[in-house]
Amino acid sequence: MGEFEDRLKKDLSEERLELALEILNLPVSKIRDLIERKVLEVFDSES
Amino acid sequence: MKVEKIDLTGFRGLRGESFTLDDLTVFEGEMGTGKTSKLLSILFCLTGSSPHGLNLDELINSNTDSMRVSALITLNGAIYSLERKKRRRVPVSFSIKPEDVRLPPLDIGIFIEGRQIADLFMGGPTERALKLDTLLGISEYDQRVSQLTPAAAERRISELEKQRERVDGTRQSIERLKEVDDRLIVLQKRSEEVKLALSSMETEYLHAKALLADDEDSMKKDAMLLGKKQMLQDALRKSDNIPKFPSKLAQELKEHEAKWNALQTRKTFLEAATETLNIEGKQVNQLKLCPLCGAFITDNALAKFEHYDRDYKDVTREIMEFKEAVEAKRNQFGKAQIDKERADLLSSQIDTIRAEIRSLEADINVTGNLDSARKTSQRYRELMKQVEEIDSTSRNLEDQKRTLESIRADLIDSGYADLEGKISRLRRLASDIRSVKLVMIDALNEIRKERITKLRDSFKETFKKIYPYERFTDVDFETSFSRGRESLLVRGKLGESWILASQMSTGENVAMSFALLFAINNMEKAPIILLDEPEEGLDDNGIRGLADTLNGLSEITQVVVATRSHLLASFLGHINS
Repeated sequence: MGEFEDRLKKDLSEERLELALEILNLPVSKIRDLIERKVLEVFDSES
Repeated sequence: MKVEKIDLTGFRGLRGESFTLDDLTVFEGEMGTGKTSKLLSILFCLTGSSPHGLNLDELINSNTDSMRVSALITLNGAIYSLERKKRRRVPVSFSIKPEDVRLPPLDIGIFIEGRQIADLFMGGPTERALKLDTLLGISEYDQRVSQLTPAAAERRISELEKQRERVDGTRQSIERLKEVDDRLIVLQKRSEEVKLALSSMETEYLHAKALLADDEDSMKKDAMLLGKKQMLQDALRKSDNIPKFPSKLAQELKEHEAKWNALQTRKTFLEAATETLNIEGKQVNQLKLCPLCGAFITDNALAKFEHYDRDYKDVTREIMEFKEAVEAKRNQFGKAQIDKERADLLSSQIDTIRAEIRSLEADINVTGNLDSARKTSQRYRELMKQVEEIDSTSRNLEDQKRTLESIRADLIDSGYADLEGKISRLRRLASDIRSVKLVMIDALNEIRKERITKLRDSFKETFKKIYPYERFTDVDFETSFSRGRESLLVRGKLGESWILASQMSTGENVAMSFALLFAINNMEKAPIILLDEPEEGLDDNGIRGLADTLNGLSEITQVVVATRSHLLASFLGHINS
């Protein structure tokens, strides 16, 4: 959906747009997994 | 564009078939007569696809290894031949002749099942709400947005914050560690003191314990002591009643005896002297001899011995007089002596009793310390209890100390700063997710709004085209958000007022539904639509309305219908079975 992405590009910073596009390119069922993975990357990160 | 003719081989249950199509074509028949297969063969030929994600290989007749569908179409006055073939496990092949043609956009949307129409409407006929986002083709994005939640991040943030709270608590714990250490030192000192006290009390405690065990014997000794004391009192009373031995009596008796002896001696001497003087019956003066030595003496000298007789008489008298006194003294002495012996005997008895009392008292002093023994025993037990309590508290404090030391080690290991960093990064991630979600929601709202506007325009336009009556001057729909989703209510303008679909006839509802369906699927631009049993769920009036609608539709696009309803087929009047 090009128009959807175009609107996101207008309103999101580069970093957040990257997250948004990542979400748009995933199957719906994988979105929670993606978020969980990103959370765990921080949570489990070593100092 | 119009599809004029279809030729097929090996398609589903149809081994070989050829049929022509009009602007409105109806395939009527019972189940299993191949109506739907004809629709699907058209769909396959035009789009190369099958509905519901059906595998194309499943469309191939079970007795053959391949299928082929060709169509003859007219477009802009020219005739074209399309052919699509498929072998099992081999990609579809497509050819069109002549090749220099661009066909209008055709997709799976041209195939519509009756139940699909019914599914579009939620609830009963009185309130036909549609899932707006599904209809608008943005439901997938809606689902994405609904999946986009910072909950996972917030959950972890919460965990980390709790961890941080624990770490903060740990910092306090470390301060507490010192307090625990101090308390342990104090307790240790106290423990040593109490243990020392216990140690020093041990003998006393064992004695007390033995005493307490011998309690009955002690009571007997108490009774004996009481008796002995009574005896002592009696003896003392008796002793007090015995006169004391006169202190000068012995001396007086001695003096009396001395005097008495002296008198007796003098008497003896005087008797001897007088006997001498009366030797042989003669008076001294007659003999003129010395009474002492017998020598001859003068008369004058003899005169000096004449007092002997007188003295003898005096002594004898004095003896007689003194005899009572000396005997009285002797009696007094003898009595005093007896009293003294009695007193001595009593004194001896008193001493014995006193010794016994002392002995008993010595025992009883110990026995009398029963209370003391009990106190000692109680004190000992209290001290033991104190030791246990101190030891228990010490153990607890030791445990606390170990825990606190472990926490201190963890704190050092965990890295407080890292914890803060993680919380900060997760907060940023949660914020990113929330922001992305908000922006997506805004974008979706905008798109939804735009699409609703387009849908409304398309709906009005389509309805006018397919609705053959003039009862409604206008149609519209309204969207609302209820029960967590957007819904859509169709309404028609009747005179000056609007009525909801629930107040319309079944046929009018069908027309509304199709208009909406066409508007939603942008079907007005589709050159052909394939309807599979569209009468599903409709009564006779509904079928009549449906027939009217399809007739209207066939004015703007080619319509192919497969139906089991003879009524619908007869209403449509264009039967190609």
